[in-house]
Amino acid sequence: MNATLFRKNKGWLILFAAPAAVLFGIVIVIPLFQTFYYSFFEWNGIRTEAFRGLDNYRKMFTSREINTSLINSIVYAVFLVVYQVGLGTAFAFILTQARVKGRLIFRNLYFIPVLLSVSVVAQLWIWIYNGEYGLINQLMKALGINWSQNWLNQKWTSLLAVAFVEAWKGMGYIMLIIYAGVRNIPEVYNEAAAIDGASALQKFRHITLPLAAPTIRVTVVMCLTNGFRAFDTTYLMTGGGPGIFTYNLTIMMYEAMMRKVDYGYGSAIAAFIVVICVGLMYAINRATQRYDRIYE
Amino acid sequence: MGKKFGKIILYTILVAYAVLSLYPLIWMFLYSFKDNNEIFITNPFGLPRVWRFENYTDALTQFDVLIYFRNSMLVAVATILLVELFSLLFCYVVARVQNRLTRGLHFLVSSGMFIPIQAVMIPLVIIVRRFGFTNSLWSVIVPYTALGLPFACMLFYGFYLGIPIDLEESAFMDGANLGTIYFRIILPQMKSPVVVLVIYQFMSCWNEFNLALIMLTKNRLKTLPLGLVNFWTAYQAQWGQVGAAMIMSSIPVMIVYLFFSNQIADAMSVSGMKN
Repeated sequence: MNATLFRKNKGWLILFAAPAAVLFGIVIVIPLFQTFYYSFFEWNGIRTEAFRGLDNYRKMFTSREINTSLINSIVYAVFLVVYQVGLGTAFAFILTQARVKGRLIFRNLYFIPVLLSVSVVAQLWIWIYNGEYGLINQLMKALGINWSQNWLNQKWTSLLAVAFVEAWKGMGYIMLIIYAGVRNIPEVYNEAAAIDGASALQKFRHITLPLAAPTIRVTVVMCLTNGFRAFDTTYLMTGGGPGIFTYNLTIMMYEAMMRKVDYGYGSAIAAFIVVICVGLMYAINRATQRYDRIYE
Repeated sequence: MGKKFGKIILYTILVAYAVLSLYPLIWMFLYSFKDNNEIFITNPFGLPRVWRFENYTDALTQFDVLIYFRNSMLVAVATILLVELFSLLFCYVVARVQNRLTRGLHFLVSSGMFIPIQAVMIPLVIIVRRFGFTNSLWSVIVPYTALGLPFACMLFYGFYLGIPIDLEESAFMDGANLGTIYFRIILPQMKSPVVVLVIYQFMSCWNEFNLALIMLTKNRLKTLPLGLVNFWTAYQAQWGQVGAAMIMSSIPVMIVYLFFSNQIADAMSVSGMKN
């Protein structure tokens, strides 16, 4: 029956679907292929491109920045997962417990940093970390501890300081996703566990964690891929410096694109980022597939 | 006894994290009314001794906040309208007509969720240059619209599946065409997801930085996040004024949040339902 409704209105269907499909094709699908295509060429965007095979990839893997960038991207991504998914899961669990008062207030307060523009957050934390007048060092001084650090100008503190800012800004978002997942767990499980006299920790371990696992997995994928494609915070806070201490793949790509105007090389880095992100997603889904079956 | 102790620890943790989320902002709010002497030496933590509203007027006059504000607004409004229109119609077809083509399209658009922006950046810059969009806000509106489609589709798809098809069928029997049916019968039932998408899209446009940085190089076209960076590099030494500019540019999202925090929570949690 409804087949006739839609068969008689083919023109309308095409009119409805075409704008989005065409736009998505032109802006996302074709450029995605172009990125991979360009990565095999030497090209500055103006003159005709020259085929160079794998030269751009060779250049990337032998460049001075690649080791630091890769290690930093990994540290950054892992930091995001540990901080955001770790705290997010803990808070989501606490804030879904009916006994806890002021749950909505806490949920909303934790979300506020998510709303801020990255420019505001970056500048705010640059000043919090400031070596002389920064909030952290001033607090230390007020507490009588003489331990001022130049957070953004030292090797390891700079990377972790930036990663912390990104994690801090986005935690509320990840928490909210897990929160929704935890709330979707049918009440009967918890009631049954309560009758059996399970403690909060036992409920968390044996009910919440396994049943919210699919949602948590989504957030792990989000945090990991965010770590590899993160650009704004690092760009604004350190620009990859001091030296190349906070360099990562996206900064490398930005430099290739804007400073060196080497689009082929930039495309190779972009393609590498895509491969990492898609690969991670695939790997995590594969690795956790068997758990799905147990709980479904 | 043990239970009470546990409760105290629990609330201490909750409050501590609330302080960590908020205190930096409160600190920023307070220093936006102070002068450097107060911020740096005499009074880094407390309320300002004198509330210096001139920081705000200074920021307004030295910082082209109105231009940036207008640009951000235009970009956000145009993107919201286009994403709503395109994805509502597209998703309706994909949800109602289930065949190989529509399923393929649905999968294609949904998988756009996980593509990093860097993947399409260089070709987009070149397209924009080639078609002479470099001097207009369309150079970000069009990509934002396309990048907004995956989330929008995911959101609408479920809602369409939940609308029974009977009404469409009887209207069709009465001789209405699909255009009329859609706008008269289906669209009015989509109010709540439409609102959720408006909010989600507003927040992501308002704060987007990476693509805007690449696309909008002229000062008169810059959006607020970019304009702010200009301002703080030029006035690095005046914390009070920069603080004022940052507070002002955060106000619109804060207002939206104040009114719609529950819808925002819904919108955000949809993004985890995927997979």
